Amino acid sequence: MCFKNLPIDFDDQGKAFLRGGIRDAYSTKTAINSVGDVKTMPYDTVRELLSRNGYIKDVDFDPVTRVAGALAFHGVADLENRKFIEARSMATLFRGYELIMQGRDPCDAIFITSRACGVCGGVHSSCAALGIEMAFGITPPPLGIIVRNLMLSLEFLYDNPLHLFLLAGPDYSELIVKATTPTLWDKATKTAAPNAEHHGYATIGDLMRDMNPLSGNLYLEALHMTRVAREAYVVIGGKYPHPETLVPGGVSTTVTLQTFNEIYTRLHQFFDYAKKVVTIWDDLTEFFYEANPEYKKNGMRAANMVDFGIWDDPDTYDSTYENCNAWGEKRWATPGAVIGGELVTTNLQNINLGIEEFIEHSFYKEWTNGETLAHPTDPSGAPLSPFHPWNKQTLPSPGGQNWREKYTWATSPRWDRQVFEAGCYARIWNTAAAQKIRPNPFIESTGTSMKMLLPKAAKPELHVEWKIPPVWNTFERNKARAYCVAFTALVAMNDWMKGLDLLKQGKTAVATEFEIPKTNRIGVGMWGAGRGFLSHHMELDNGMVTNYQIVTPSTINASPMDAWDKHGPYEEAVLNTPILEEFDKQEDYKGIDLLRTLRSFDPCMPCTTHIYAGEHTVVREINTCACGVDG
Amino acid sequence: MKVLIAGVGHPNLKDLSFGQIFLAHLKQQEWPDSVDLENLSFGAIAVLQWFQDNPGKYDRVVFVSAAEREGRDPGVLNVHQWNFAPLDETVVQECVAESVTGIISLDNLMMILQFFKALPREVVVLDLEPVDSEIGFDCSPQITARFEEFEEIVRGKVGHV
Repeated sequence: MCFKNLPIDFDDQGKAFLRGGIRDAYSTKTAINSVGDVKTMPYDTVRELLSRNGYIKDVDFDPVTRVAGALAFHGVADLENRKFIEARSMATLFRGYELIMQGRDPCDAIFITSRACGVCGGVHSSCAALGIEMAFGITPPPLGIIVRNLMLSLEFLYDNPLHLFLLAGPDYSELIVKATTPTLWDKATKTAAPNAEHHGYATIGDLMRDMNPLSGNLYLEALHMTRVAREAYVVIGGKYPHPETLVPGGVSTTVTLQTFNEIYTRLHQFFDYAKKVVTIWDDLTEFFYEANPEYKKNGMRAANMVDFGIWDDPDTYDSTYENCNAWGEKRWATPGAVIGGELVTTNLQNINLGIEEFIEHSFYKEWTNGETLAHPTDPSGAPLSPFHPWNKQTLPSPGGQNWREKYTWATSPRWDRQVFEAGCYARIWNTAAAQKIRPNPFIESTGTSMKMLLPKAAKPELHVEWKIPPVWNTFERNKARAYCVAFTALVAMNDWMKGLDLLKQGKTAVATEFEIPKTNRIGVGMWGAGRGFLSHHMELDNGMVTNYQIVTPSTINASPMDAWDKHGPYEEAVLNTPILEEFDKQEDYKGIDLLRTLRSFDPCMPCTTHIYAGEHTVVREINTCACGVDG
Repeated sequence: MKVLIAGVGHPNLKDLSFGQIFLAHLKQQEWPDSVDLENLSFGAIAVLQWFQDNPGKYDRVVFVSAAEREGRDPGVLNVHQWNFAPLDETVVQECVAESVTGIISLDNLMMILQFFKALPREVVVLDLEPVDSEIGFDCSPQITARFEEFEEIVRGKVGHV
């Protein structure tokens, strides 16, 4: 029984059904049992404090990231009591892909939705391909699945190091630490790094110095490693970040022994790199905790996270919804929903059933309006909420910003009506807790940890272990992301070996022929981006798309308050963050604690928001948004 | 003397895609062997690494691109020598962050290439203010009609090669 709030029960065979005797079963007026709720002051009280206390300040970050400049954050900081008393996350631009896709050939989704992100377009392509395969009833040959898995891994090996050292990393560099917490910097220079033998830095200060933006060796090395990953990617993807070879039913590239060799010469570099990345983020995390245990509250929130899992098993994946629980649990990253730190399901169908999107605080119109649901049940007969993506319509309704009412273009995706977050860390958590990973030479899940063996490359082999942490916060997000570099590289190695084996057996087919069906079909790609959870729900009729709904990780993390006025993950995390920055005068306050919190989610707003005006027209993308345009 | 003519910009945005569209026009013309033409419309870090793969290969680079700049009239083509003014490292870091996450911009590219010392000493920039920047595969008729004029400017900047 994984649902605490949705009106769904299960019979003895585990088949889901709508609980009887409830009028308006999915009403948003029904109270919910929320895990990890954050208490906040009433809006009027905050305004009153702002007007009469000089130490209570509006702090606005716009943009938080210059990635498309589409994420802004409004907070109210109590600088005397060193805490935030109000938080609002804003997606400032509208994403139009749901509308752009309507009436199109479904196969176009692979290329169009890729443009939803200039960082990780390939994940959208493969997610679209999975949804199309489900709708068409086709399955790629085993080698096609392996190549798709490899592309995903290589994309993450670009994406995660990029975040750890180019985007979030500078927040932990000498330059920033010295400017915002001089006493911490002083301590760092005198603190020996426990993992010096693995990463090569004698002190934490040395390590922070090499994280300096533009000049630090770790920064420059990350720039280089993004290239290594891209080089491997284009061997099979054709180009990056928008691959040319993903098609429904597999890939259109020719794969040979040489292809695998070219990938391996790049992949093996990540074995040593992962040894360094993991041990660096271990040391940084422990240093901050030891220097001031209050850092454990930075970005803290309940460990609520959901992920569909990724990396299909070529021997099990058949693309069907009916068998999704079987093939889902065979993925290298196990699907799962973690609520309050407990893994409550690994069942792909239940994860799908639990997803809803709310728009009470978003610039959209309600789509339910008491009309008959498009899909009262999923293809297996299980009940679907009116707020489920298969039933959702995108009805933009621009309006003035009002902190109490509507203030963002992001929706509020929830699972079982719980506020949850998305991240690559969800997949390592689920996989560690579920203990369902297929037997392999490199990765073992223990129920409380994931043990990994990083093979010998230039450096000797190294055993590393990511343990499910007792607290969930900014530092644990980054640390888990570092371990995901190791996890990803090892999954890629497993897939690489399987691919070679298929080649050796002469199973060289990488794609399946198909025809676009003319009948009404639905499908869903249940997949993941570098920053976690990703779904593409689609409905097709007469060979064209009639509805297309994308839920991205940054939509989830940047979501506003929901129908129950529960804050979204960014907002919750900031409200729990103590202000530990050192400053004598209020005007010197830089907001590093808040920025570290937000960046720990790896915010990537291109896939959350896009500029949109009028009938299906993206009017401007240049210099403000990388999305929707070809890189 | 080896010269590179490089187009920079997003595709399919009419005059805002001038860098790509005009470069395609230039590629159809006759050029001496000492002139290379490349579409560098990809992430600035990838372009930086492309230059780093060919250190010292070019003596002069001519960039062609378009951008909407405040106070500039539509259709104006600014032609200037890159002045290598000192850079604010905070801004360069922001440019890197944008670049690795998918932004394609001449300004970001120039700052990153300068910061990492990937540019030759002679750099010329042709920077167009678009007349029309809606979706479309071709430049506006007003800009397309001036391609030969622009080509002459490029040939002048390529120099006596």
